[in-house]
Amino acid sequence: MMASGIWWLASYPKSGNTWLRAVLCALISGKPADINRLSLLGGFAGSRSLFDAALGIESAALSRDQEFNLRPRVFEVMAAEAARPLYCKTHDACQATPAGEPLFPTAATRGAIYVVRDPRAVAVSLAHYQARPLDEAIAALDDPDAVSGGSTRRLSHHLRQYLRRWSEHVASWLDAPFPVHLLRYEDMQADPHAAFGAVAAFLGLSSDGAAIAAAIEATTFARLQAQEHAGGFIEKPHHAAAFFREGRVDGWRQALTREQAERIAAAHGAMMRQCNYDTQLGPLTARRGAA
Amino acid sequence: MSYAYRLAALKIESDLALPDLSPWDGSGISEPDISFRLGAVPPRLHEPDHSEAIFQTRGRDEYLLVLPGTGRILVRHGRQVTVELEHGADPINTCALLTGPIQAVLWHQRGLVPLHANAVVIGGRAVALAGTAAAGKSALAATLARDGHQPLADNLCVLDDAGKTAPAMVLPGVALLRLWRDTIEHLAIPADGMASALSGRDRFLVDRWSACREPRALAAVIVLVRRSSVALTIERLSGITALGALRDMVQMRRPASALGRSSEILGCLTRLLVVAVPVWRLQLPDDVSCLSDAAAEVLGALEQP
Repeated sequence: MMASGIWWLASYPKSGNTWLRAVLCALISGKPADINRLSLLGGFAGSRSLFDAALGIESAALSRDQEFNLRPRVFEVMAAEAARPLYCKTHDACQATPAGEPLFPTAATRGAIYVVRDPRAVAVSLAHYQARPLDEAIAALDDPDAVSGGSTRRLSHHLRQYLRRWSEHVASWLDAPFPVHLLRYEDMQADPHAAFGAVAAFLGLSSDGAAIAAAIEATTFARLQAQEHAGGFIEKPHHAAAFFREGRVDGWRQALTREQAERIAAAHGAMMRQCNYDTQLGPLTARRGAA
Repeated sequence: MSYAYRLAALKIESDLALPDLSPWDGSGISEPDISFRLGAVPPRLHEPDHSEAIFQTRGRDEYLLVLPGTGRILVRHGRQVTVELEHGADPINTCALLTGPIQAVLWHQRGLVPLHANAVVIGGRAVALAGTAAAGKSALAATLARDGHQPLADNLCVLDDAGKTAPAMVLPGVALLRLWRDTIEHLAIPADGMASALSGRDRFLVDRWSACREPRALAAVIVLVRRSSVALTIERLSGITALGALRDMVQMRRPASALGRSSEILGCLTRLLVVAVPVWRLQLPDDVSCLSDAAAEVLGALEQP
């Protein structure tokens, strides 16, 4: 493995990746994180401009398969040219390219933090983020061809990223051929000091309690939300009202109908239980009817 | 079969159809300035100076692209392009490669500076609309074309500063605009019969506006920065900020650096600033509905002294 290498900060979309990056930014820099400069950690694996710069070619002139097949080369170039370890966000499932090689080359990889969040909460957050009906977001979680970015109608800043089904996404990272630290969003909320302390230890960063406490204090949900209100957030899609919307662990209990929650549990129950999510519903507080 | 095309004042002869380019309309017996030939291409250059993930270079005159799914493309002396296609290579995407990235390598080898920009004619002079991929260059150029400003180049804007002390000239480039479906729909352009610019994607060759065929002096560079959650703003850049913004807009920067062009390019871009070509940064939201307002911002900026 090279001296630098990439730590992947991986998650299904809307699972807490931005919060993780904000805390890491604050921890590494010792300063409050600027939400519009999180890419200083190492960039976004799905970035089109990063692809073009690393390979010296316009991805816009390539076919989808060519683009996908070349992505491992991008990560190799990034790792080889970095003077320090990189911390790169990704929403891709950990998978093979159409040419059959790993999308995330082990030689360029140090390891991964995988952030997992209750898929019932992910569905609600995704529906707001993508300004689409809840039932569509729930269907997307169970779509084996689910993708993020890379519309055919326009050129996106993001390359097409293949998410797969939510359960497959989680499994793909847990089975990755390099060290992976599983981080539950709910644990980040319940005991951030313990959760981020474990992250820092896994990454070999300072696990000094005061430094971690300061990083957490600098990146509370209210502070991140206030930054977005004040100066916008470059990762917010144009059609979404806000990126930092609610951030609650159990908000899905008010947002989902029983039938919707049961549909998610039926599709992903095995992986939910593996990740320690209770698939028994208990009381749902607000919605009764169909979505 | 061989095809003949015009690119700026150059005659191109090609074994492959390149429908992005205008047909050659000059003398039938003149020698080509650039040739695109099908033929055998080695997997590696002999003793390359630079060997990167998908390309190699040797000196300034040899560039080899090895692209799985398409094949191998060798560019030599700014004049000869040899293409060895893989079985099943898509002809539309091959054309997009040859008239896009490979064209940029040709200009670098010929000593000119290709910017990642569209160019339109405003007030008789060229205005470069520069930006990285997905910045909205072609969409803004189409909006200005709709309002009567002739397109001059699409996606690749070639600067010829042979005069050294005068503003550089912008050479006429690909005459068609390559537009994505959301722009075509927003501008209400009839899409019937348009040729595809890229297989598997809704990008089309749009031949709706008469393109300018003559070089024009560069009047200004507008650097587009498109982001999801920003207001439409335009600001004049100066000094090192302007130079840095221009440098980021050089097409195929990485191969250009490997071809040893960095200091020449820096010289050309510095001269633009010395002769007071204004550089503006246009920040625009990620929404086609802002295009008319963005065009108005550009026109307003150009009227400033």
